[in-house]
Amino acid sequence: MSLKIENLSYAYGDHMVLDKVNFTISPGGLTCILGANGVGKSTLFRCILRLNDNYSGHSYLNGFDSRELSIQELAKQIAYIPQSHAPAFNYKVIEIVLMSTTAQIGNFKGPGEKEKKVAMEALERVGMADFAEQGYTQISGGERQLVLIARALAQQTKLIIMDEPTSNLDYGNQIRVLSLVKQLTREGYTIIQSTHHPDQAFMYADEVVVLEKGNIVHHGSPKEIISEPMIRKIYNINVEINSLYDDLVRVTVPIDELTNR
Amino acid sequence: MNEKIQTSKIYFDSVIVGLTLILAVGFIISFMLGKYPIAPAELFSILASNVLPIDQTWTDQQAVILYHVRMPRIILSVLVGCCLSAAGAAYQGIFRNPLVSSDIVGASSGAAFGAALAILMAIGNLGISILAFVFSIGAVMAVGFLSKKVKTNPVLGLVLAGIMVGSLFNSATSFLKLVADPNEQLPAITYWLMGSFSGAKLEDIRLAIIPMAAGLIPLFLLRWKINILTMGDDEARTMGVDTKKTRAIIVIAATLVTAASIAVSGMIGWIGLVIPHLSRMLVGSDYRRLMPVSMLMGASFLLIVDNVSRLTTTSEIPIGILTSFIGAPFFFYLISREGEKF
Repeated sequence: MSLKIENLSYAYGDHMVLDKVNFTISPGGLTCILGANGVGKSTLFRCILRLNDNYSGHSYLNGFDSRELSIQELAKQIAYIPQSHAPAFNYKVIEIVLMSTTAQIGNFKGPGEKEKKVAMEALERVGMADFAEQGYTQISGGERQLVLIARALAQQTKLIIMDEPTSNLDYGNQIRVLSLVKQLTREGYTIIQSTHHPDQAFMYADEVVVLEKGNIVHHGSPKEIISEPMIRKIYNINVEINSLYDDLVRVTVPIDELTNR
Repeated sequence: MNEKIQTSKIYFDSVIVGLTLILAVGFIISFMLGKYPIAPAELFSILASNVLPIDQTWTDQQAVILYHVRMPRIILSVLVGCCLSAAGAAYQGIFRNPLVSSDIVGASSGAAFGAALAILMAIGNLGISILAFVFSIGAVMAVGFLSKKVKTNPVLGLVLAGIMVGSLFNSATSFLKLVADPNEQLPAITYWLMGSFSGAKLEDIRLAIIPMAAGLIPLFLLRWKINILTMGDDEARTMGVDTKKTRAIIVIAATLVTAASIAVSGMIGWIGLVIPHLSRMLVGSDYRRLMPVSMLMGASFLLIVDNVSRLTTTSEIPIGILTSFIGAPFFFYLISREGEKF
């Protein structure tokens, strides 16, 4: 699934959040969106998902303007994974996953055996099949994030958008979730996620898009894009980027604390 | 309860069969209960005489009581119980809040005001139904609108807006009582506000059945969609649900059955809160199971409570008072159990 954003602008009242954003994401691969708080990462996602419907410009999915699609048709193209949350009612894990099959079934129908099979396969894919009958509010935050990924898989789309998928997770779960995401891209999924960690982008991303004040300022591979001056510019801190294991991976170290010692 | 059992098909089917049996048995027994005895044999002969040529072994009085006193009352209590529970379950889903019912979202106080106004204007039973619905949907929309103003805490916003709109309509109803004719209208309004099936007539069923069916059918058909709406508008939309349209249909359907119930039975509180919760304990949160179970359980519950109401004392206790006596302690139990969620 390719995604092409063309001259996309969005304003909350007088406040321009996105100003003529342009970029293209080719099928397959993990794209990380980097940017400081409030630069419009979430707004960009909301426009692509048409949760903010009155944007100007275009968002093309495989060449089709997503505005021409109904809500149901759009749901067959893009799945969305929110940050892990606690719903008002204690659904079973399997029921949470089944919810995403709604776009595939009739208006007055509930999911049947076919959808149940899809949902169970998705749970198996993320390693949560044993939790199917457990209460969603009784499992841990990391497990919930995996269930939400399974839900996106059960939606049977090729494009998945994740809003800071690791923000509420402990260190181990962050790594587990990101490795799973990476594996999914190898299986042909196109995944876009927002993140606040340059190191995550170095470790996992195929492409990085950097947003600043509603504009795309950089787009390319992590090693091309993420540099000490760039981080200083968008996050306003000084870092040193170190190359490890013959430049297999790079890590950023905030250095102000070190030089002040 | 073992969670695996709760979602198994056999368990759900047996719950449905069990509740249907309770309702059916309760329904038949209710015909025989009352100050004027009708024995089982007589009951079946009277009913069977409609289709079979049977010699009359019963008094005409028994047939009159059966058809004109007990039948309307029994059918109405079943219908109203079903409607109020279904509406309560639907409101809880739509407002994403397990402590919501038609009382809290303003539907009841709006309907009460509309109906009192119709009694005051003496515009007949149809007028009561129409005004009850109009003011009921107005109150729900006002609560929905006002609750959004409290942005940080949606539960608090909903409760505050509900209190506000509810008390506004309650005061307006009090004002109507103040200006009502104290000999005729005032007792009619007052007694009606207590909630009762004692004056139930066949005509009431004819009046209420159409709006009730028009509301219950979409609530039943769209029950899977309610699940998705409980996840919030953004998530529901990304999963392909047209949230505005679906929510509007469900709110209108729930308010329609609430207003239709209140128009024929007066104010019967708490059932819309209590029954969905009992159902949730029995079959879990999934509305595919919750909705039919709430409907069946609510029907049996109100039928049984109405039997208690008409049999226990010589001057019968209005059923609205009884449901409050059961509902208020149950609400306390809910808060103490789920209090940590707030």
